[in-house]
Amino acid sequence: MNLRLSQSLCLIIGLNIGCYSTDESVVGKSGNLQRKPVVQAATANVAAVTSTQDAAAKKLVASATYFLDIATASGAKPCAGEINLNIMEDFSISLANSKAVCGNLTIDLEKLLGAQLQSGGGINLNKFSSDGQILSTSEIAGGTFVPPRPFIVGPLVQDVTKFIGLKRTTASTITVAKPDTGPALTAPGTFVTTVLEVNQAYTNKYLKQGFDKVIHWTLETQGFQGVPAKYGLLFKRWEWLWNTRPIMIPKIIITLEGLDAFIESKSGEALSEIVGEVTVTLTVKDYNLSGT
Amino acid sequence: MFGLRSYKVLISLLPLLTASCGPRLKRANDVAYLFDKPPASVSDIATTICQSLGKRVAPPNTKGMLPQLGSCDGAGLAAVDFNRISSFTFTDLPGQTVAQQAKSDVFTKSIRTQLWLNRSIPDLLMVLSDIMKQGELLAVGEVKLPDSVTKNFENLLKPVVKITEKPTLNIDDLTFSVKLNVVTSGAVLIANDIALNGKLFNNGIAVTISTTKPYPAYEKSILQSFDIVFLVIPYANDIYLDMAVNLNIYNIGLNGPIDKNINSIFGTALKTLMDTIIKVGVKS
Repeated sequence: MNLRLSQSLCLIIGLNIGCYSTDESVVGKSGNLQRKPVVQAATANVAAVTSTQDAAAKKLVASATYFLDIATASGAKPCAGEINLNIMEDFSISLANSKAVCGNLTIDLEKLLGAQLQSGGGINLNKFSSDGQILSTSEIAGGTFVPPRPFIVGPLVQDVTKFIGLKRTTASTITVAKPDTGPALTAPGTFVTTVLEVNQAYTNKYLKQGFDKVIHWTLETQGFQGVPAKYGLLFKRWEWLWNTRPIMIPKIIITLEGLDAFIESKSGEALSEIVGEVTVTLTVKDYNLSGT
Repeated sequence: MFGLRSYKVLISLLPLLTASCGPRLKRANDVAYLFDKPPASVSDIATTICQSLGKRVAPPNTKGMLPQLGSCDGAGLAAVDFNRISSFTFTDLPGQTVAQQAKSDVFTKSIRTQLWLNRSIPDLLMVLSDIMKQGELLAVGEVKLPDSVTKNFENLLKPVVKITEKPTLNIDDLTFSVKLNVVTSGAVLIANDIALNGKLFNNGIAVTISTTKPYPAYEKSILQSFDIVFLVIPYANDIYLDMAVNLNIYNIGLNGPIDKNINSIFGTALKTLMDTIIKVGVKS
């Protein structure tokens, strides 16, 4: 130990002897001091990191206006209206100023459907799965599905040849843990997804330019006895016309067994009086996908 | 106490003492001019490296890339500390707006991030050494991606990354390279061949990552091509990272949503990747 101490002393003394006292001041000059730059004020707020964005600052990135009409099995059209679909930068959806007129009544579709659109609280990617042809979801509109139910074809259809003649039957069980009234619901059923046509053309009198890459498919639902259609979006039939590039939905036709199972809120009382098979058609009038 | 052994120690230290203070006739004051000027800023260093990249013919270089990727202007001025962030912030580089590109077949987007890694060079070397020990980065074949990278979209997208050409290290000019193939299946199809080239400069490391031609058709890959310029500069006892990215994505009519979300998607993805890399280093 003493020897080590003596060695240390020798070293310290030796270093002091070996260097001049002025050396320290040389290397202490500014040339030896790297300093990080100060973050510019203009970029500071950009650099201040937040993983969540202020909801109030959400920007509109895409919008479309659809005509809405509701037809009964007899061919009567008791309601017509317009839906303004706004897609925000976080992919949340709003239906500002969307209304339907049924006889003397004007129905606020924003209020009627807004709650259901918001109930999901945004898109949770973990709830979705894809095999490259069909996007499925394990949870939607208050219902959970085991296995996940088919939701839409695609939605990104790159190689359209993979979709020609696609037909698939998917068995699934829905559970509604917290229905509006009564105990939890559960029921088995099946979904049949059928691609009718690819690269189909579509236009209507309102569009300045039609679409020529439309994939046309249907999604039919069977079973799920005792579960109102509003849970899990259990429509009897869902027919989509979906343009693959640019992505745009020119038309959606939804077939329901009456609206009463789908709409239970007070604002929908007028619609809930429409019974029997009902077809709800959404037809695009104009759209803007440019994000401006 | 100061016996013969102590004198031996003192004598053996003399050459060391001499060496520690430089040649006998060269005093510290003789080289004082080196310390008179302020040191090069991190921006100066980045600019120097980027200028070198621009002049190089052999990879890595920035030939054919958009000018804003190769300029490295304003390095460090928007850098944040890695330990204080939950995701990286990518900011837009100058380029055409979404509206200007509405009719284009390909949507182009350029972004950049800067940060201080809050690590010293030995820390970084340890992490790199541990990664190399994994062996996967040295062999041709599939690279197993960490679960943390894929867990958020594992049911939607299945990525497969393969090393297609054995990594090479050129000691003469301190460059390295590796070629990769990235393919995804599921909700989005991606299929790109990628070349990664790096060079050790005397004051930092530059890496370029670019897709190679021929570029895939839309039917095979939503991502037509990309270029990334990545700088690693040791500075002020820390590590500065600067990453500029240019993406060319086939236009699917959703340029607005893509434009608004790509910065945060890249930011989260890069942070996840960096966390994973650092964890790999810690575990090994």
